Amino acid sequence: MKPLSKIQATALQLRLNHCCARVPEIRLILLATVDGFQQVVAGSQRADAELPEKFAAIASSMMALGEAAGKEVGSKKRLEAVVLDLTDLRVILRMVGGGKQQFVLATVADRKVSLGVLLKIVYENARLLEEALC
Amino acid sequence: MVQEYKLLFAGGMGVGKTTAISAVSEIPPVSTDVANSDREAFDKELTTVTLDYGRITLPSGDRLRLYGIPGQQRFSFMWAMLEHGAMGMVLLADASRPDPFVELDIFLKAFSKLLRTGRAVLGVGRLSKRRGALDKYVAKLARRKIKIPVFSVDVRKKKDVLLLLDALFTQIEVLEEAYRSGEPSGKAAQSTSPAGDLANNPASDHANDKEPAKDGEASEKVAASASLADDLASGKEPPKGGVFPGKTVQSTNETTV
Repeated sequence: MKPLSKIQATALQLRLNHCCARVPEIRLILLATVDGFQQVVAGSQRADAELPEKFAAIASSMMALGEAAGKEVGSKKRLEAVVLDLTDLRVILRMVGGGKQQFVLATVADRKVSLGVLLKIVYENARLLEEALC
Repeated sequence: MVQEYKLLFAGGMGVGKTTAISAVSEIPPVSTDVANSDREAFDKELTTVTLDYGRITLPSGDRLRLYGIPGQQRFSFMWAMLEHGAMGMVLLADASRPDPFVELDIFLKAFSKLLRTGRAVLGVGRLSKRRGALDKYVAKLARRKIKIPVFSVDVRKKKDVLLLLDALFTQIEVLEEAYRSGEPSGKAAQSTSPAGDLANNPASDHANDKEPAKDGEASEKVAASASLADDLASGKEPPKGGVFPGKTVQSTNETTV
């Protein structure tokens, strides 16, 4: 597993900052390694000192659990995303990258943003991040 | 009625929790292993980030559900979740680490509630062959007022893992019997638990393991539980609940009480 280089991290940080500025309902976007280390974080909740670190671990756990659940129910494909539909928030976890650079992109937003719109934002971010990783 | 028992496998990263569960599970274990990005901390390709899950069905139909925790501390939010409802715990340690006791201490603290009930065993891997190498672990547990059996094991070997499970059930049944009867532990040795089922399981290598353990296998044993059942009988610390099915114990373990 290859962590992000400084250049990659800076480029991704700019993209995620831009996304958070464009959609104020997004509280947090976090990129973590698949084994739970925070890499890049953006959004209004990033200032909460411990949150990104803890959430990175939780996001990777949930992604792995989703993958295991998928296998158990017969899925032959890799897991793309996990959606948490809370009464006040939506959390979408999306696998990003591949090979030696695989990450979990976690996005937390108010429910004011519809699930469809949020999914579109997340998938667009994932595409941009994958381009930056190449 | 078929009973279900939840057992926890705990210990630091790379001590062999996934390996141990894989060694004894009758189903392909549910694994949540992902690529390890922290190779400096531990040079291991994969690491568990959520849980491992395996299962053993005993001849009686009772089931042991085996849950492995993720060993790294940043996943400690999973520990309490997985500990909930566990009847007992197999704690694993790796003696080859630069400072194995520091790592062990993390788990002794995190799971102190369960450990202090005595419903646990400690398996130490990669232990030096030096006489008395296990004594330090027994002393470490004693300092934390934890009285559980300690074994030298190689969790890649199915019979070593089954030995730990046998010991765990024997430990639990002695505690349970002592609590029920109010008698000292020595008189409680003929009680019942899934341990007998485990030893009698025809699918288990351990069922035919009547020979004393050979060098390099789970040969060195220290029971630190000497007075635990007596403590319980005298009302010092009652164990948490738990019901045990009726099978006679035929464990091949030496018991030092």
